[in-house]
Amino acid sequence: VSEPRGMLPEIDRQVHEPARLAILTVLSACERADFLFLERATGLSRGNLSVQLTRLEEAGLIEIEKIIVRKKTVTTAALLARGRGALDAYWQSMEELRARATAPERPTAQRPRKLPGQSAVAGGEA
Amino acid sequence: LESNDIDLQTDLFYKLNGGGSMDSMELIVSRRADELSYVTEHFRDLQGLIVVPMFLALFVCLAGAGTRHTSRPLPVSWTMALSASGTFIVALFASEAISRWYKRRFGEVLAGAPGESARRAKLRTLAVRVLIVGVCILVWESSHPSAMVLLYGTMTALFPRCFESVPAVPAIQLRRAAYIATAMLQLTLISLGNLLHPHFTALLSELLTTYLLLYLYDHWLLTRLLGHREEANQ
Repeated sequence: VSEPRGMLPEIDRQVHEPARLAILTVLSACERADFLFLERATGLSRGNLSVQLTRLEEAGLIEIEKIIVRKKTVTTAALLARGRGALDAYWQSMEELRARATAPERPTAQRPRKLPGQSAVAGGEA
Repeated sequence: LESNDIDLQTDLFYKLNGGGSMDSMELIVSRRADELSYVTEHFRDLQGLIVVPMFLALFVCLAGAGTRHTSRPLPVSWTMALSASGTFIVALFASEAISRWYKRRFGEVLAGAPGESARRAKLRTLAVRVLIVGVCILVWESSHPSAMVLLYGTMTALFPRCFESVPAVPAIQLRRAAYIATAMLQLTLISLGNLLHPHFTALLSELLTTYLLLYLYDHWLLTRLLGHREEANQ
């Protein structure tokens, strides 16, 4: 269990989950977006989007603002500096992971326990 | 790291290594993220239907001016000026209604990267506008007025979109290609304009038709990029 720490870059689970990654990606490209746009862009259901937004807010990655416009509550979200940093770090980790995966010498050759398929081991040792 | 974090890393590693199949995560990481960034950054640009009523109003006015020109040339009558004003006011209201429709259907985005990059973008836009006005004044002095109209349209509406970076998504790359092709076409017309002396109305009609097609494609692209509900829900 201890071996991969030094070998593979750390992946932030808060960011890695596809729904949250989609939300953060949208928010990273604008100053602020409302709930409807996030719903349309990410393709998430309202309930799921609401849950994911709450989790991201609790993690301190985004801020959520609710304002009343013409007697209707409009929810908007914006990416915080910490969220932007986490997203940048995530892409960097993914890039590093991809680079290592495609490198000629693969460190995972020493870790047969984690293999999802035997063919991958053969590829790693080649 | 927790044990499940290491499992995640290892799974990702082997998927990227070719040991596993592409799943929704891979799709988002490789392609969907680029699409999302693009559609968010260009959300206002892609609302192509907003300008359609204005173009239609221009078409109507051009057609009216054309028929008027054959029967009785300038000066333009008050009736004609009032009709043109009425057409544009109706078009303005229609544009506003379409804008509200976009807001109801797709939501709203406060565009622009925050901080320093926003200030740089504003300065860049200002510099481009100054350049456009300068070039147009030069062309006005030395060329046909229709050439100036074409050049102004090309530089303000087409050039900025020709040089933007786009993700490796065919529909988005096709948009940029269409803008580049149209810009080249306009520049060719401007060059030929001095030789052929084309009619102003014909040139403007060509310009409006081309822009209309481009903006309709923008609208189609917006609805396509924001229509991935099933894919992301998996």
